[in-house]
Amino acid sequence: MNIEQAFISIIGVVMIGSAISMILSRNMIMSILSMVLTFLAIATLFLTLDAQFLAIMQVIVYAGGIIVLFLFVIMLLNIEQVHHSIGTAKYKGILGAALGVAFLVEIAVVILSSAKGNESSLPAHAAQMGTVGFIGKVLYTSYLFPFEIVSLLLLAGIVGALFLATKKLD
Amino acid sequence: MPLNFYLILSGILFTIGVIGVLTQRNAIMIFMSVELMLNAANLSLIAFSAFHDNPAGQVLVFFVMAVAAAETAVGLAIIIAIFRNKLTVNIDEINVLKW
Repeated sequence: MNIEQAFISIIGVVMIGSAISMILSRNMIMSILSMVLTFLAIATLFLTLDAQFLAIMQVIVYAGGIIVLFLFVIMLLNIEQVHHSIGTAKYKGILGAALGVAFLVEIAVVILSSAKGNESSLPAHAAQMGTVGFIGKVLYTSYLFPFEIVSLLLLAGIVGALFLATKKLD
Repeated sequence: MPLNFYLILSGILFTIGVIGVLTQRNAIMIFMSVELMLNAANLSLIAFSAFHDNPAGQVLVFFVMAVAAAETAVGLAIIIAIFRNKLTVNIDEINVLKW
């Protein structure tokens, strides 16, 4: 195992660990902060896959925008503690965890049963594929129509969010 | 690192998200777990894109991020509206469709 593989493995462990701590934490602010760490670890993994532009977008959109939105809502609603309802919660927790593990086993069997996917080197010119220039060229030529539709979707999202959050329902 | 490493990592992250959705009772925590699942899917898309030398995966991740941002804004607004009416975000207590 060379130093690059060791680094990527450590990042993977950090990502999984912070995701688990996000699920298990009783304090919502703590789980938001664990989620920031998860997103930053994912951005680092994007960098190891030579996707520089999307790594930066991950940091800006997720660790920047979405996290601030979550923090803002938690502080606005003033719910910092996660209320675990007693009684049914334990039963549901065990059942949920068992279903989750079964799901993981299923995914692992599918991935590991395929013969391909063990060659450990990226294609030689992969590093140029993640740059802003390359992604922008593909985005504004082959994927121009979906790009415009996404801008409409974002507009609809902003208008819908404003409408829902400001409307007095009584 | 081989492709399988990233795929297994993405599978574990997705599973953590699934367990979060199944076990959490707080609507905001469920929402955060859904974000985790979206990120796991993004990771496997980028891994496939890099190893198969095809930019379509990265473009798709870009679109997923845009849709996730819109989804978060609308979803949190819905949670705020529910909280105004019911004064709780516990999904066990949000069980009526009309009041």
